[in-house]
Amino acid sequence: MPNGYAAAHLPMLALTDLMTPICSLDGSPLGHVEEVGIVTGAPVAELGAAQWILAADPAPTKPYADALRGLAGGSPLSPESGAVICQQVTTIGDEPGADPAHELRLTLTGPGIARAIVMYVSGLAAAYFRERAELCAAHPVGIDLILIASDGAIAAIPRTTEIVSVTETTPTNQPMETYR
Amino acid sequence: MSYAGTNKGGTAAILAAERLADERRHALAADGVDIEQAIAAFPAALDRIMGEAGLWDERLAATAFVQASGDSAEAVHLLRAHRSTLPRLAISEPADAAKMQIVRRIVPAHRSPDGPQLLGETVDFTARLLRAPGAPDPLPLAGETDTTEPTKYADEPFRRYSQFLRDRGLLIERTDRADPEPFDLAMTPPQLPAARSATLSAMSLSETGGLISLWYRSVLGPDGYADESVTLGEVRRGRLRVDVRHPHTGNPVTIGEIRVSETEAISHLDERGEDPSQFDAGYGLVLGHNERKAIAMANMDLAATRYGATPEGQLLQQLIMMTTDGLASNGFLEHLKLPHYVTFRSMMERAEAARAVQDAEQDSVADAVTAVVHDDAPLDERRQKVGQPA
Repeated sequence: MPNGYAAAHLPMLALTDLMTPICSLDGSPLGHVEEVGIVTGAPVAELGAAQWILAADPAPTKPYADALRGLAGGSPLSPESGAVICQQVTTIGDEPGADPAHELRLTLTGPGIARAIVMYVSGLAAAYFRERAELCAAHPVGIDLILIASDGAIAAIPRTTEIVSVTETTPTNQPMETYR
Repeated sequence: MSYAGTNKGGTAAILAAERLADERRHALAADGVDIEQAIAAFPAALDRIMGEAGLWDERLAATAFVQASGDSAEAVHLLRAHRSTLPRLAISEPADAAKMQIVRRIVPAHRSPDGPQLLGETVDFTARLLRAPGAPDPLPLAGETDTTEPTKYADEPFRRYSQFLRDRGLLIERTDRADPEPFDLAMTPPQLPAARSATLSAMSLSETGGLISLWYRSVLGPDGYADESVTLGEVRRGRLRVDVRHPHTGNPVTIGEIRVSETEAISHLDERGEDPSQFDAGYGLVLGHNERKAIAMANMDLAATRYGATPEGQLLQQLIMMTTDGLASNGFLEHLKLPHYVTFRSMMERAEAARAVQDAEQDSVADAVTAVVHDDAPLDERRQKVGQPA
């Protein structure tokens, strides 16, 4: 990506077109959703009508709660109209990273995962995943999530994946907050 | 021996089968089967494939045709799979078929219509005699030919035959203002009752042979949807420009040209309850030079519109929307080859259980009859024991 553009733009550029309304989740100056629309032909829509959502601003403290609740989740007959979020984060890894103070340890289960896998994400608040869990509770309605780190690492978390625990790690790796 | 899905011991067999298919593809590539040659040699096959796939790209169609060893259903499958990965970058401006650059136009309904009767390139009059490429014609062209120079015609505007009837007040009005936009089959599942734009879209994308068979069945079969006395008003082939609006200037720009076949089918509305002073016109337009499909489409459009308000017409709509897509019908047929061991075992068990019940019932009836035959009770009582009236 050119300088000044978060890597979260890349899946938007690759996967949106005339048939996929797009919107920015946070309205942050880092998200150039209009430019994505010019390049791919995707129409820029209101949050609740958009299918692909650009969240270009990694925000460790922002819960995004209102914005997430405003997303289209689809319906039981049309689950495909649930939104996909391209969420910028700082790091993604399967090992604890360099900055454990701002890292979440996620444990994922669900279709396609043999038992459970653990991943570490920095640049998002634990509350973000609580909102996501609520939005995905009434399957098949829900949202799909693509996390993109600035180094290009990517993790796609479909609505069928259950995040069974989110733990904020500390420098000594002691759990501070856990849910579920 | 049997095979099963992956991880049940069938993986090796599946890989071996795929390797055999791969070897053929590699052998073809080694023989230098060239895409440009395929485009030049098989235009009719490629036009048919592009029309059924709903994707206009000769190079991709030729690639699919060669990869599928000439199996058009398989080539259509490859193209549809590819099409589903392509972004939609623009929706074209409505292409006006009257602006077609005509390479062939015949009006079977009228000897001297407005505009030309232009036979163009056709095998309609060819003696079907096999001959090797380059061999002399066993039946050379002969006969008196007219030496007068044919009249020169520009492309349209000249009246198409439906307009000729409309100008005489002889064509029924079929404009449906409730159906302003084309039905998008790629984004919307087929629905009933279907708008005319939906049946037209479905037929335009349908399998050529399947649509012709549906038409023929409805002429000669038990359903009787189509009218045997249909006359073709227009049969055209030509090239049509495709325009889109420029994303920055907003002006229409031409991005390419497609070949199309277009047909009007005309029928006299002379059945009970119809207005015998009127004709009805069905319409067919398909990608590529594929006259048979366009003619079948126009005939079936005519029938679906003419009988649209009747239960028969609604059944016909269902046939068009649900049964003419080649990818769907071929895919459903092909899936029958997959292992059905569990479902069939379950049917076997139900059949065996039913047989066991029948055998047990027969045994007990036989026992009862035996008992009754050897019974010394009066006849009425013996009848009652086997369930007969006394």
